[in-house]
Amino acid sequence: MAPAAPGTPARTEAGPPSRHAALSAYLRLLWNQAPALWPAAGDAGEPAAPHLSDAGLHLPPPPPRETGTGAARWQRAAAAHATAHLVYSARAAQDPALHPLTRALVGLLEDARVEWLAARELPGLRRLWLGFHTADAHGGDDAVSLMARLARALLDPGYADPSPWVAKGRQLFFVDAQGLAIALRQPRELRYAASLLGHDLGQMRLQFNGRAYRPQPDYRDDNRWLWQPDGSATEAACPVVTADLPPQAATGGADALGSPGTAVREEPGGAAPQDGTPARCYPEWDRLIARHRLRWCTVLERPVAARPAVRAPSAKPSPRPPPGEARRAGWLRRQPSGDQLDLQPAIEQAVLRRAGLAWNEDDRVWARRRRRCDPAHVLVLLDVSASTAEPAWPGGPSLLALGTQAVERAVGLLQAAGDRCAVHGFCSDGRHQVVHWRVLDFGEPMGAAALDRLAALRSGLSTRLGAALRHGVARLLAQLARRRVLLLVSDGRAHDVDVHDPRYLAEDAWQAVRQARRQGVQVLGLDPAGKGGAPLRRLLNRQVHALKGVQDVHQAVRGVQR
Amino acid sequence: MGAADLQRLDAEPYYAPAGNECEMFATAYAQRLPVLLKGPTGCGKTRFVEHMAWKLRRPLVTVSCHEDLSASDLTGRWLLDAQGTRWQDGPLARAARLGAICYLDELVEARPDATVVIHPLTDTRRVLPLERCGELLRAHPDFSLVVSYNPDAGAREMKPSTRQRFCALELDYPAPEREAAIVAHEAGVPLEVATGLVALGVRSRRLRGHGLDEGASTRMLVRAATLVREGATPLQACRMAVVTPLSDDPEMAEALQAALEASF
Repeated sequence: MAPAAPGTPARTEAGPPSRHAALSAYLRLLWNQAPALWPAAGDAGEPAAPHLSDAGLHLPPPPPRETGTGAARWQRAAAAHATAHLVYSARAAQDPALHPLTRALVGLLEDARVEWLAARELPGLRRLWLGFHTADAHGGDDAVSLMARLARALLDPGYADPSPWVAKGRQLFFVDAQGLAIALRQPRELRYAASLLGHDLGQMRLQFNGRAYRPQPDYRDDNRWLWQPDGSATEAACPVVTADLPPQAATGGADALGSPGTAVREEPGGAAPQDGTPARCYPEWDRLIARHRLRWCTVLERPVAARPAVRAPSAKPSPRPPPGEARRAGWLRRQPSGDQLDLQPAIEQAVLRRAGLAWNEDDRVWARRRRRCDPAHVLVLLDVSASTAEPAWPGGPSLLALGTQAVERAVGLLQAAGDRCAVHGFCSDGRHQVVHWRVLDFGEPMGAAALDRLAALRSGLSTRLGAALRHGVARLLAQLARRRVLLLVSDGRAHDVDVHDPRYLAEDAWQAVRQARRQGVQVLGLDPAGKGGAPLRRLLNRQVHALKGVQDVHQAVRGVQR
Repeated sequence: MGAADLQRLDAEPYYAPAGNECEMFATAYAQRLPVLLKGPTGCGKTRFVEHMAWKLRRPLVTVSCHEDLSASDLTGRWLLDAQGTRWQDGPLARAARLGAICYLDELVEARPDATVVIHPLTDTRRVLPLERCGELLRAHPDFSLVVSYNPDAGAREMKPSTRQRFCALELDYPAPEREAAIVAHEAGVPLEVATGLVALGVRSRRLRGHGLDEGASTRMLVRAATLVREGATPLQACRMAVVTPLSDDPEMAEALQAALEASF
């Protein structure tokens, strides 16, 4: 959930639009590339252009003319084109002497080159990009129109343009007339061809405004990434905070992410224990280097100062009988198949047979052992980050209020059925301050004192989900138990103030869940927003109950007891 | 009941070795050492066992384990007949009695009592206690036990007390060239068609750990190729055999569909 500084109102959600999840997966599928995706904002009055930076790929919203599937196709075209640069382009040092027109033409030829190489590997990309190439001879003969027509002629083998300049560009670009092989393979060859074409445009007395020029079609990025600023070659690996990043991302992000390709740092101490409470360090998964950073996050456990709660009538313990029946071991009698013969129906069947009477073909003469469902140790992990202060629906209670009600009810049901429960709230303020608020310890009844502590929880700070989950799992593993369950009450959106990359913490949380399951801890989720949204669903692989009413708590509890 | 009840393979099941796994399996079998096969779903574990059973000329008993599979499902149970009751060996007891290779597919999915019942068969005792009929079944000298396990499925982990009883072979998806040859052979399609399908399969495996538990298996690709052989376009075939089954997550499904469209 979204972060906020202590004591301040909740900030708005700063993560990328949900479409970015599909785009990220798309780019990984195409080339195993995973640039961070950021929303791009345009300059005053100017529509934004897609662009690459060292921080990742900046994508503006699709142009207004693209709606529905067209908008999705435009975003895919833009993302695939920019990422093709990451795969096939080499960055060149900025040359102040290079004429703006030549520079634009170098960009055009390089765009065509990477698209040709990408389409050779993935033929469907040519279809995708060609859908946006609409320039033709009717569009005029100014420099920008001719360049758009050349861009189309270099991608579309079926396009014939009457302009000799376009034909010359095609001849320079390809080895053969059919366009089966490209001639411009080296940067100096590209630059030479661009200077020839630029010279011809100059001879044609065509005006070119380098400042206003945008590569066409508009899914193509502005090529700023191709030109490294002087002396910046060594900075390329360091993430840069750009102007259009969310404001809270500007603090300490580089520290959190490190630079891609660097060795994994190990920080032995982490934050010093505060207030005498125990601090524990946990690893964190860094998706960029595909490794865990050891001892990277510090989790502090803090007691909650109880606050007498005013309980609403709906918060009373459930009148429903405890769901302990299903967990008793025993035998299911008269089954069509099973572990052993069920003596009574077996005798009845034998008597029928020997008496020569008709007997039931579907003789249910088996007894099947009912699996015993051992009492579980359940750690309920309640998200208390800043965004839980938001109302669940307009005018409705806050997400935290709904969450605490659900926790109270779930713990009541679980304890009544013999499960041992603990309840922790969690939030974070950077990797050194992941806090578990201890509301209820294992073996403690959910009495008035615990309810007061639950009511004392307040929304604030961020959601470093992976570290919180790892600590919860560690607490469960420390219990002598046959079954261990972690019930996460959250919308599943990981976020923290020191991480820029929106996928970094999500993938870390996914790794934490995976590891928990491998360690035998069952992880279930309950979304107090009532949506069972994609982040939590993706995190927990559908083992999520969207909380829309009390019946969902029962369902989650049944999931624990299954 | 006799050996005829067991699966005897008449023709050699096609299997393209990735390394020396066939030789190592044969060596382990010669000493009757139980073997654990580790590998992702659909990478060819079952086919490998079938191939080795044919090569070693042993009958094969295959059990697909599931979460309700109990010890008595493996060992056997009493049945009613006209004379009263009679004992019916389960697949494990039958294989141990008759000297077959018993292959327990995805053993960790079975109930804990089913996992434990195999233990006496996997050490020097080589016995199977049939408590319900009061028999201590000594395994036939040719009997061997093979189990498979997918460590990346994210479900359950195999207990050390079980896993340490086995020698293990790790199988994985074949390298692209070899996988294309396998797909072409299995589905009867030209190599260039299989190569395109395998390229998509390799791409889908990049999402393992990034939204998907598993990418497309070799088995999925063979099915896609079979649809192509029967007249579907690669796009239609992959949508039906690969993209739609792989994920229910809307974002993953959209990404897979878009990558499929880019691939052909």
